[in-house]
Amino acid sequence: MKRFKSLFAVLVALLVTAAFAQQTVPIGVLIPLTGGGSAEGPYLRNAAEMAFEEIHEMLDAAGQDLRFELLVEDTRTTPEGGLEAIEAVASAGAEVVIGPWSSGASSGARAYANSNEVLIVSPSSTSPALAIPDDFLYRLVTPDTLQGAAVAQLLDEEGIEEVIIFHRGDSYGEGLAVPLRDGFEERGGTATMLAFDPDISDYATEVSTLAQEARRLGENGAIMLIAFQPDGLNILGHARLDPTLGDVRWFGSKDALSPTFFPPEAPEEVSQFMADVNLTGFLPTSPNNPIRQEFEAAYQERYGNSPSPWALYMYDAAWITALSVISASEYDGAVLKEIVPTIAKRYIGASGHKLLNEDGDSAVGLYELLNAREEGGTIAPVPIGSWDSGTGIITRFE
Amino acid sequence: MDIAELAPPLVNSLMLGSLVTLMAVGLTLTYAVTRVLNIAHAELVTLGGYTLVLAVNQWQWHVIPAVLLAMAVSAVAALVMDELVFRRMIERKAAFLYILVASIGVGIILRHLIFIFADIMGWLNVKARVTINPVFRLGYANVTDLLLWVLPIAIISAILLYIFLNRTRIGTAMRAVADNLALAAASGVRVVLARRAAWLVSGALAGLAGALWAVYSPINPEMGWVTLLRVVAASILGGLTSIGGTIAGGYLVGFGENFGIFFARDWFRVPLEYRSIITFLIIIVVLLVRPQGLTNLRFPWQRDPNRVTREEA
Repeated sequence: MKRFKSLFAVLVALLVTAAFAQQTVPIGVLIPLTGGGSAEGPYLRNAAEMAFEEIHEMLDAAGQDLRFELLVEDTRTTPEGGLEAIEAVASAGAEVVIGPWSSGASSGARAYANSNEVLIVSPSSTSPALAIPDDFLYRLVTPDTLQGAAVAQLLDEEGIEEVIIFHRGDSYGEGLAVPLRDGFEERGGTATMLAFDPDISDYATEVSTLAQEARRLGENGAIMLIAFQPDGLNILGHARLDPTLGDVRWFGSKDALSPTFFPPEAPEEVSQFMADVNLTGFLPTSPNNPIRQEFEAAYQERYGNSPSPWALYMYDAAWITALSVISASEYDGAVLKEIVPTIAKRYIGASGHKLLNEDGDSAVGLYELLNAREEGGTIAPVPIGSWDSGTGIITRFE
Repeated sequence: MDIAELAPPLVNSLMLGSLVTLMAVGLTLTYAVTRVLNIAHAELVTLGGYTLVLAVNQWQWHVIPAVLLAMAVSAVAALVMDELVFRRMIERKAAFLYILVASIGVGIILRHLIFIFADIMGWLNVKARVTINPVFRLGYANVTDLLLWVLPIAIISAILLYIFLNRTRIGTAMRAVADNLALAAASGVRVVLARRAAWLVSGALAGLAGALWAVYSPINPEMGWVTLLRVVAASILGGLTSIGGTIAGGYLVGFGENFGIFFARDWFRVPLEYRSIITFLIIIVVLLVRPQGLTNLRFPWQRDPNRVTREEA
């Protein structure tokens, strides 16, 4: 009898412990720490960590024992890396992931997510090829069909008649290059596509080939660079030393106008070249709201530098995901898939309103028109206008 | 074709060929002397690059002492690698393949350590703060001050290595160890000293290549690993044992990378993305024609010392 009593006591103790134990929910954080997106990785990780610290504070204040455990995996900015990363976090129990950052990594992870019902909330992958309804991939940014249309309009307004689209030969590069080419040709321009291998260590040969093509351009010719930071800075570093490419007008994709292309992250001579060739382009932006200001100030105080534009989107991906998990009846990818659009519809964060369209992508696109130029003694991306996907009008500040 | 169009691939070939050669001769040297095909050689290159960046960007050193520091750090790392892993495995009669796998493991560990360092410093993609400038125009290319440094450095390093191996006692010992370890040991050659010297020289050359690369182009923790295939190709073209053949192999990789895609695009409209494939196609063709690689290459008027004529027979 005594033995049964002690067994009963142990059982009760176990049940009580289980009832009051902290519930830990694993969340996958798929970021590029190597490869083309490596410059963005630390910003995205920092933003996710800051968001979940705030979420934990909120849960503490609410008296909830729920805790999120972040499972950070490197996607290597490749489709294979994206697949391996989602497999790793899913096998550790994650039903939802925030990230990947690049379209390549998202395309690699997407098939696994669909067949295993693991939800992906990507802050940034923009390839139009991923705009698919009813899949397990949500994107908090507008696809590049919009950016392609905006750049085509910009080239036309700037009097460009011929353009070489020098782009990464991956889903991101193709995803922006094709709508740009189509949009520019519809406006009567001539576009030449020149893809480069995004996974090599040096681009001197590619830049020489670009220069060879550029020598065939007419007077109103231009180059449109579609690159991430490592390949982009490498290309611009070689282009700076080429006798042909300094005489051509340059335009750039969204990443070429992000802070990671400018000092202190980039060599000053490369940024000077960007200013010399009048490099101009669009970057998705968000309204300057109090949430953005608060996040940027907190980030600056904690890490000593400003967050990258994509860090704002990652911060929002983390919040939308956490709010969805808290609202869900159970921690399950398929359940979360139903909740996220509703949460996103009513969510305004650091990167703005996150209403999703029928493809599960951000429905609201606002782009900042930036130009590389000297400001305050250094070269920086200076806002000179904006483009709204709703109106399709480029508004110039000057 | 406008002849001036040939200048950019020529300039790029000389730069890439010089850097690949500097990386590959060290790999060949350690294989020739110790029979270790050291895959972690790639990380010694990366280590050299990051050491230079640390010295120049963080400590504000001049580039020349920074290059010397990079050579010293990679040399010591190479020696430590051998002392801790490879020499012990060889003493325990480990097979070649096991040592090869161990070198991959050593490379992964070193790469991750470099990765942690780069992440902490915010240098996941970084270039040394050394500005390269054009010096003179050649066709449609600019010849830079860096190329005017790198090309002589590669050639002088190769000549110094040749003199070291053929005209110094320790070099002779290294060649004796490379030819026949047991015979060298029986003849009183200081085998341990010879292999240590081989690892130090190999590491120093890798560090030099990495440092110059960090001046030339941005680097990341995977820089050496991504370049390794080209380096191994150059070494294989040198028969894995011939320094002269490796130099020829390094420049063949450089010229193949640049002129291969140049003519493939010009003649057959091959997309630029296939550059790497064309390079390795060229290497395969060379190895099909000369399976021994580029060892013992002679001009037509030179006599093959191994060939016995009918009269001599």
